[in-house]
Amino acid sequence: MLAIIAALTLGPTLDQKIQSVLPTAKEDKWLQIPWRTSLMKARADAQQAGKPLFLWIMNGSPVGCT
Amino acid sequence: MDRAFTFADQRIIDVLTKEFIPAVGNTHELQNQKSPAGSWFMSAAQLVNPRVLDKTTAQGFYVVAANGQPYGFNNNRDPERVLDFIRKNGSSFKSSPPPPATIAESDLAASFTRKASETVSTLRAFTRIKPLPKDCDVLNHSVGRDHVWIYPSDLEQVVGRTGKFDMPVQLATRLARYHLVDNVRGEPSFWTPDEVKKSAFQMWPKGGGVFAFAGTYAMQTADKQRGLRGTLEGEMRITGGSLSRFRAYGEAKAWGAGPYTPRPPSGEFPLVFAFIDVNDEFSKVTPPQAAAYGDGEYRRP
Repeated sequence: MLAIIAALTLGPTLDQKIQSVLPTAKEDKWLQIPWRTSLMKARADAQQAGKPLFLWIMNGSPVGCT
Repeated sequence: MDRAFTFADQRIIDVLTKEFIPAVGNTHELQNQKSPAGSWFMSAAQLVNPRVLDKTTAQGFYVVAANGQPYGFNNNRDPERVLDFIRKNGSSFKSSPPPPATIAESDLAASFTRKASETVSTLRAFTRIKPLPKDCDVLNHSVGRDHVWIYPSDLEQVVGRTGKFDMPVQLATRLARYHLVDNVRGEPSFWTPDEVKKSAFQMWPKGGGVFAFAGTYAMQTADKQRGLRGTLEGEMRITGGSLSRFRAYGEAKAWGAGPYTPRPPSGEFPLVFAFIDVNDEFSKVTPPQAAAYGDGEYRRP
């Protein structure tokens, strides 16, 4: 009861506010793809697996910026 | 935009995971700085992307063999077109496999990004427009991301302080100039010192090595066409001189478009920020966008 009263009178906590900005599970679905960050190591993996590389190249790292 | 629009498509996730080796790269590192990874990538990219020869951006999607033989380039984000691009070039790879590549050990070990030193703490910053104004462009639905570096010198100025005190000026200015930005629709224009009209954050100890902070900020370009003003609140915990936890939340009113952040909502729009400490693989190899070419001014803005 006290927690409910506190929530009603004090508003959301810092963690709740932060949570409202963080990506949703749907927005983070791209992380299911096993992205490599080192192109040289990705080349070695591709060579070993006999697979082509798919490169996602952006102005700003796709896994960190913008 | 690509993250939520293109790479959230389950068919694309499945084909990239099973039939390809997916990798990411940053043109600021591959195109504009020297490294074995950059040389290898640019040699391949210029064979399929005419913009590379024009010395404009190399950004986009590529299918390449380990030996550097390119199969295709695409810069359209529509999931159907990307899926078609992936399947078509994957088939070309299978029907015309490349000769083996020779990858030098020195190339595998070479640095390809500006990593933070071991003593630097990293935060992940998220930005979004919330609530979304009605009928705004779909670009505004994205989540902006970046990393923030916190230096030992920032923390040294906080440890042991009592009562209320100003946030160390380099940390406050770094947050204001490089991280309280509208990066929702693309690469932001960072604020120049003259454009930061206010960055006033107060801190106070809460016990147990935790310091709270709160304050306000205001930025605006000289022509007043782009700006941002708002509040920031948060806490950081310092344990043994190192940052062990960081949480912050900000709300702002923003307006205007940057050169690479087109089509904002009209007028003022609500921007929210979240900052959390991270220590994962991506955070270790992805510097803050503002430190892509070195952290001299970033560290001491």
